[in-house]
Amino acid sequence: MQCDLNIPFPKDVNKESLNKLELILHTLIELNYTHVAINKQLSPKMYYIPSKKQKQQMSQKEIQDLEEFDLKSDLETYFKQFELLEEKFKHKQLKLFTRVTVEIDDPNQLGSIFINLNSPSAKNRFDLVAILPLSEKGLSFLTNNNGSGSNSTNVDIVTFDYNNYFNGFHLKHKTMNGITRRGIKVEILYSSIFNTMNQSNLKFINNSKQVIRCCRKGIKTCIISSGASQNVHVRGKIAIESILDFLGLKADVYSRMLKENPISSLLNGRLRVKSYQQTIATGFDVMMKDSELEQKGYEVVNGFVVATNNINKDTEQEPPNKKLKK
Amino acid sequence: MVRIKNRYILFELLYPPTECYNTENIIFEHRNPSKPKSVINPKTILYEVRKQIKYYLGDQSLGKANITLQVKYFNNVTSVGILKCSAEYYKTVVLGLSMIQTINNDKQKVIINVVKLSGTINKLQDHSIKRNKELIKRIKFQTRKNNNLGYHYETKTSSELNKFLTEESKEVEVIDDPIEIE
Amino acid sequence: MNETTNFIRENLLSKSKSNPSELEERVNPYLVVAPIAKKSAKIKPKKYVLDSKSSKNGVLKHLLAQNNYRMTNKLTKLYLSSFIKTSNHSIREAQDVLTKNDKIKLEKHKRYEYLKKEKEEIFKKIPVSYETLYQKMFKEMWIPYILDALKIDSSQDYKETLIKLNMNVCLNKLSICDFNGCRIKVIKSENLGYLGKEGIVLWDSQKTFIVIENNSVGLDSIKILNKSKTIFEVRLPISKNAKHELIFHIIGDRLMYRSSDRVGKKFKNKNVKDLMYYINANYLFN
Repeated sequence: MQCDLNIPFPKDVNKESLNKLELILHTLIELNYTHVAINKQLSPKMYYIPSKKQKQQMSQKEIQDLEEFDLKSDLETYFKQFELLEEKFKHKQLKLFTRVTVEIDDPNQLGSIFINLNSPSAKNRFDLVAILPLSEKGLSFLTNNNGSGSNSTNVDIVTFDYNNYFNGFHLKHKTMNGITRRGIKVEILYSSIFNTMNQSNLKFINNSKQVIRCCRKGIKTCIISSGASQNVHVRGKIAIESILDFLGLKADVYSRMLKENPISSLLNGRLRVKSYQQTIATGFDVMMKDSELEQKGYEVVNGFVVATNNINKDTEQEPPNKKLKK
Repeated sequence: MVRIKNRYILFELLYPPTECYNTENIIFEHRNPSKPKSVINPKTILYEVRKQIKYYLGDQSLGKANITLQVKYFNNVTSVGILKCSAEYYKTVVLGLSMIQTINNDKQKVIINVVKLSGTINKLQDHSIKRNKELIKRIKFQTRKNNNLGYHYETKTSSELNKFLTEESKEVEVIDDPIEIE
Repeated sequence: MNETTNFIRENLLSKSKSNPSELEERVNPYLVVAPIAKKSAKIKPKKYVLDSKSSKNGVLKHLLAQNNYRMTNKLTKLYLSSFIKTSNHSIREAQDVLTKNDKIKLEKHKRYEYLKKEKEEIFKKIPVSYETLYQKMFKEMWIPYILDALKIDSSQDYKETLIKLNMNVCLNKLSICDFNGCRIKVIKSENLGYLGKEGIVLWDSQKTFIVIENNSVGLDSIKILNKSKTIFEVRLPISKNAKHELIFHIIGDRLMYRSSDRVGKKFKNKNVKDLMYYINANYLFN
């Protein structure tokens, strides 16, 4: 069992970019991966709806860009491509999951985006929901509990941008402990260590050291995933362990970061979709997808799972036989 | 009188294809043996490992890891190899292996997948034989499926594939050095 | 001891004053240790025993008047455990009677009929058989109740009715509803001895399900299934003759309330670190 919970979905959807994504998944199979999540990233420009006063301050170009972009159709294309991918990898060992990360610059800009993404009435729901804070205000979205903060219970993962320095904010023990106590995991993306351009491999080591320091050395809090946009930046299990050892972690810590922590965040996400507040769940198994259930002989109607019994058929046929005998 | 302790590393070169629209052949494509021997051989691999260790960890740890560093076995067709190093500093060698992206300034990029670590060379041989059998099964299953659907390989690729399969079915034969005693 | 005291007296204390004995006198009153007041002895918890003299219907009256949740919890534990002990004891008695008279190899319903005719005293103490409970509790009472709560028509085609429903509302209703009389099966558990146990719920207490288990060889017996670290499966027949069944899972750790307390409860998502057994153990070790 091996998890990689961050394979980015291309921003411009065309043949070449989709082919690249497919090739990444094929190399992941060669490296014995089993659980993979495909990530859709939403920048603040994509969901921001300004009020009338704010519109007057903006230039005309910005307003045009905002109006041209449609979030609903963009998400629909993502789900369409995901279904096609699922069908292609049906007979292989990979299990695919959906994931969304929301970049937060200012929590006031969010509006109702989290309610739209997580509403139980929506047709397609994301298995995993992550947050990428761009400033210190964005991180405080998770810590305050009033009003919009109540949505923060639906978050599974917090990630950071490892290609650049954390400009403007400094991570503290107090805030990170408050976040992780609720079961939210902190993610480390290792793929930028292979990128020697712009000194991003140096920045990666600096940033990840900072994150591990304030998360109690990451024993029960950190997960590690690739975040690779290219085929070549993906590595196997032993290679990742050696990278983490290079960062100064011990063997018991990084074995947890690879195995149990990502699985628990997946469980958290799947239970949010499949159950009512973790009390009662539908379906035969939480981790199984609908297409897998149909292979095993179960029916899925509107989210309900229906099993058909063959045993009772025999008992039905018996009484007419008895009547004939008489 | 103490035996010098060694660690053996079983690794495998993967050539991830950058452009491939024909996904039926994907397992074979990852292990493409078309590279000539002048580009990839035990010498160039060792050179690259030393370079990466020096880049990330410096001269001191390179000197430590370099004591008994040696490529025991490498096959260009199957792209599987065994590397020998000292037991104390094997972690630095694994880091050097996993950081490699290109070999000999070649255009095609490379992933080195570290499969297994062991203290004796016999255990690695057993493991590699087991792995080869599974790989052959996977490739043959794919080709059979394609033939049923009506696809046929060109003669060139099929001959290459046959060469690969015959090489893969051979057992890895390496003889360990006599035990050194201090 | 004397050497050290002499050393102190002669060398250390003599420096500050010529006569060291004066100094000692001044120091002495501060060193007197006064006795501290006695600690109040710990109150031992009383042992409550069910007596027919001091109580009515097996419940202590004066304790119930306090209306304390912890106290009622204790009393239910006592009452249920005594009930289960006596019933299991009487089952053993009945089985002895059956073996003596060579009736144990009979069919199951005939065994019960024999006991009813011949040994009425023992038959009254034995819990009711699984088949009659399955008919009366599960089929005639629980299924119509739950179908009515979820608004499912079993007479119509199941696909049409399911499309109209909203799944999240249904799950919300199921978390509130009563599980007495429901048939459950243990699917996953940390305790491997529980796996595959099946039965009809007699009582849904705070931390356990008390269940009657089907036994084809002997007589049916009562079992206690812990809610913590176990997951139960419920199968709900929705069409005629139970051809099609809906599948639900009860997560025991998050349902640690009595059914009467569950009504006004607002459940919340928690950290899932205690639910790791939900995923198959094979996943983690491969």
